[in-house]
Amino acid sequence: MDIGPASTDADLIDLAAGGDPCAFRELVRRYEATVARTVHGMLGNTADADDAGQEVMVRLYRALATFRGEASLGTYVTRIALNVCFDQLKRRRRQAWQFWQADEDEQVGLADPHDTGAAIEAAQAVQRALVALKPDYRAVVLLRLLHGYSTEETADIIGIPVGTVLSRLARAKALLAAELEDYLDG
Amino acid sequence: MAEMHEDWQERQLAALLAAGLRDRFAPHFDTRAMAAVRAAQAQGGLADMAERMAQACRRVAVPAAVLSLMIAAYNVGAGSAPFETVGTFVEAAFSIPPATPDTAFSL
Repeated sequence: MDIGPASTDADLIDLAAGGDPCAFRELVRRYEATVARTVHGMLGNTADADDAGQEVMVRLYRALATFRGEASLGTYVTRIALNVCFDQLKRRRRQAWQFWQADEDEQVGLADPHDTGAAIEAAQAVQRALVALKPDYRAVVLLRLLHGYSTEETADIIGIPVGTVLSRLARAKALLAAELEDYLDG
Repeated sequence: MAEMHEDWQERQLAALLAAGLRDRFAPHFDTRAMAAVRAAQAQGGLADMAERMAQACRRVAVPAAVLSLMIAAYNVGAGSAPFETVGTFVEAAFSIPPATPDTAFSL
């Protein structure tokens, strides 16, 4: 079977679970954007974001044999990415006891070299606003606003009640709107 | 009206997030991810081998300990002398002749 953009996720999962590295590489390429946005949203554009991305792919590879297709692979990957990010944030908290809390600007990190001045400024403002949110709120914001999952799907992915998603989202939106006031119309 | 404003604000926030968050890692992420998968597989292979060896050791060690206890119990039961010291108990349990200066290095 030819492996490429036309291959279905199900075919690639079967091949990758059977040990085909090309099939898994195609899955990595296909879901890099989903993972990158989740990881950068949760951790910021920091050096450990890339490590977290790799960890997501390792966990995905290990889970392929047991993936039953109840959710889409995108949802499954997003769930893994959130778990990896929460683990990473726990490690950061533990390290903060040994090495003083990382500066917020460090978590915002370097801008994409392809961005223009205004875009860089907006991107950094978005990241600063996200970093200011509690990680639990960040996860809800990313799933609902960035990935476009419904409230019920978000509740299912994170494993919290629908009411909690709604309250966290309302609070997070108010905080984001206040932080990003200069970039919002009306 | 308030609901419309909230929807509008939500769409704007979603657009800002989409524009502000990078959707790519550093170049050649797929190559690094594949290398990480291979490294994890190799580590997993070593861990599996260590676990198999530990299982094999447990399979041998547990029956050996049981057999040893059975022999000890049999020998203790068969002996008649009271055991005044640990040394005499071990001697009776495993039928080991007492070590003397003549026998200590006779192996």
